[in-house]
Amino acid sequence: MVQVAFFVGAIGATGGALAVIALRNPFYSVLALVVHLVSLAGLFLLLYAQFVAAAQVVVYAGAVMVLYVFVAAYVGAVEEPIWEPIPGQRFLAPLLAVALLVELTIAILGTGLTALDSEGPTVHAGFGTPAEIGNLLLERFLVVFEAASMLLLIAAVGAVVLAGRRTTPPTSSASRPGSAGSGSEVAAGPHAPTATSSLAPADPPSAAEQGG
Amino acid sequence: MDVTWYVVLSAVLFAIGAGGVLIRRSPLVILLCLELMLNAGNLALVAFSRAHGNEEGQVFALIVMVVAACEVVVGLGLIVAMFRRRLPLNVDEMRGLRG
Amino acid sequence: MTFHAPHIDYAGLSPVIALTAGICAVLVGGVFSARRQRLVVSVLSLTTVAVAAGLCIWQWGEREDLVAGALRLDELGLAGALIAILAAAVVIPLSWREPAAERPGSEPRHGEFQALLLSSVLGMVLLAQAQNLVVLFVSLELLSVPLYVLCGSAVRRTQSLESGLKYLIVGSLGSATLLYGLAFIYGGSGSTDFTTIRDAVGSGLTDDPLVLIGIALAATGLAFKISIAPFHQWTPDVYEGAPTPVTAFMAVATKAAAFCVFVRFFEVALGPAVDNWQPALAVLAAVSIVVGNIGALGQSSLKRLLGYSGVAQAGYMLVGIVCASALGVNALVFYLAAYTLMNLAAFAVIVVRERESGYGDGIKAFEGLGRDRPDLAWPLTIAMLALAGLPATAGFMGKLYLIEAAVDADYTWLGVAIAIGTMISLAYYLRVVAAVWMRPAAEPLAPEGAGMPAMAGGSPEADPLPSLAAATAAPRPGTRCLAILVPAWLMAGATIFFGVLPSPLVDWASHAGGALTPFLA
Repeated sequence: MVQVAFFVGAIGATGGALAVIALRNPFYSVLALVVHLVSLAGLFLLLYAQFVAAAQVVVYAGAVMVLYVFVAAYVGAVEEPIWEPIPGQRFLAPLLAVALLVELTIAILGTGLTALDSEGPTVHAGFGTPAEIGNLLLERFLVVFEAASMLLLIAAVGAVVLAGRRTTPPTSSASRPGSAGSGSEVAAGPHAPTATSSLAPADPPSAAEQGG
Repeated sequence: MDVTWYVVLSAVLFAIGAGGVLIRRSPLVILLCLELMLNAGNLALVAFSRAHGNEEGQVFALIVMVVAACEVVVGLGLIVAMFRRRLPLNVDEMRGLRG
Repeated sequence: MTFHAPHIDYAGLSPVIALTAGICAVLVGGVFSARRQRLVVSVLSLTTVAVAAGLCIWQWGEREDLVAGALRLDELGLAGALIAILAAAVVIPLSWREPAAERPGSEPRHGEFQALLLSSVLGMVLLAQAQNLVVLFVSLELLSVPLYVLCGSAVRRTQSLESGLKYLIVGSLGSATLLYGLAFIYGGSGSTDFTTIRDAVGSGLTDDPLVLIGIALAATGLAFKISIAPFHQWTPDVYEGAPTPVTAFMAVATKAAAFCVFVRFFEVALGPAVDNWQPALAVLAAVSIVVGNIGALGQSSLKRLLGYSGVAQAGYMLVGIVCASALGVNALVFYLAAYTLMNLAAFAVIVVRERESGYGDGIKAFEGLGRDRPDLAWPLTIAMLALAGLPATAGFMGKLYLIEAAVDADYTWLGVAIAIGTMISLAYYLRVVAAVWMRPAAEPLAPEGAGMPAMAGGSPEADPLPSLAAATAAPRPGTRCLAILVPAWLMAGATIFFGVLPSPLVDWASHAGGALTPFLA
């Protein structure tokens, strides 16, 4: 039973990953990544990582992928041909990837660690539950937890700096609440086009802007 | 299932991601491939966490998700900014910086 | 399931707390209107770095584990933190008129700009003290993510956006590689704590392929961050495209923090496997010295030149790690400090010239500088001579120290490599000095002209009319700006001072090596 579940998950994850790099339309690549992420969440469940699996589905496959879909839709699906003339040393890339895989596999199979050749030790009942993970985050990994929250804040600020657009507002305070500050900016930054129609690619001063 | 299976699977996914970063040209897809690599790392972490029976690897995996989300936000912000300037979204055509 | 709150030593953690509070204050300072914002924000950020530096100095000499062993408070970490803070203290005035923060034509972004800068410093302080794989990874990201944004923050300038995206892609590739390596090391040792990993690796894992591939991947990931040779291709491009104050910060502070964690990770956590990583790192160092110095030879942009020179300098500094001795760590910390001083002096001059001549950061912008602007020419000359390693500069003492450490650790050939690299580097550093003193000044281009290259961040013609008027009414930016000249002179003066009287800096650096003595042979 576990074997079946593992192979279903493994095929889903590998197939999703291959589809991400092989599909020509970025929009489909994003959807393939969702398949990949959900399959991984299944594998996490098999490894007794319930909380990580839940976070994977809710945060990753849910929120982050929505962001991707929005941007893919905003930027537009630029189809890129894949197998036509590959410039430079790019034809080496698949070879490099295969070499990397072989090397990693040799290392994994050649290790003397016995822990890897079993299903792993029997774990206690609460292993991987939100309670235990939360305890670890607030005890041993308190600094990590705080640093990660700082990182999220900074990423939100960064998205505003890069993608937020305020064109000479009448008063500075009026435009401020729209584009600065809170955590919701993670999502709000890139798909701000809903707010201002001037973001459409039909913006007039293109030549002048690119001159700089 | 031996933990080795999971780790080998993660190696396969990591190699696919690395190959994708090298092959693809659209920055959007390159970001997706970087996600693949980070997720391969996550799978390895969770698998090792199972093998050792301690949860540090799972905490690490959660933090990696946070990090990945931050990179995505900044990366997509840059892509949107470039799109608004009507710059080609193709890493091969970023010739402004070669000399 | 009971919760035991970890013991927190607030005194030891105070620099981190001060920086975090400062970031929030600076972000709030961004609500001020255009005119007052710059002053308020700059004062707030300078206060923050001053307080953080003071607290670091106050904690100097303490050695303990902080917050359940996540961080290690010792002189090595504090030295890295102080160097990062010094870089920020110089870069804050340098970005006084930075178009990326000024955003001519729209609201200024000084609050966000400085907050990003400070959060990068926060990441560096954490990174230099990290003693746990998870802390290492998350603080490396806290260091990098703001830098990706800052590189692309001049959103009007194509080059800046491209450099931001390029840095993001390459940096994330490095992070992902590092993460996979850390996962394997965790898999081998079963722990994320440096000291526990050390014990586990020491008890029979030194030759385990799983751990070895983990070490290789982790070293590759870190090499991306500090631009060690085969992984350096992004460096000149990103350095050239990023706003110059950001480049200055990136060039020095990132290296300082990343080298500190490199030392701690390799000498403490992976110390027992030294025989396996030592030769590999030695080869990387040699390749980096050769590639960096040869790459710099043909560059006409000063920022690209400093980018390649940074690759070579990273190679020199890696020698300090290869030695795996207290002497090597001392030499590394000394060189990091010297490298910070000389690079900041050079970048300060570039910031000024880039704004007042029309030639961007091309070498043409510096021709005739000796006659026209001796106040700028001298710091640049001193910085170039110090980077080239001429006697009576801190750069010379640093290289001497590194060579001594290399010879002491039976890596004489690396010492020779440093010497040869230094000789090659004379060619391009002296070319800059020659341009400054021996050439007539190039015809100045009109800064508002159509052909204005590189630094046209504001691109006034793209803006609506009010800002065009503002741009022409504004004084020529950068000219005689004391906020830039004073740091440039201070850095150049310190370069000479520590070149003539190195003992205070040597003492300071030797504490850092002393902090790792229990782990070093």
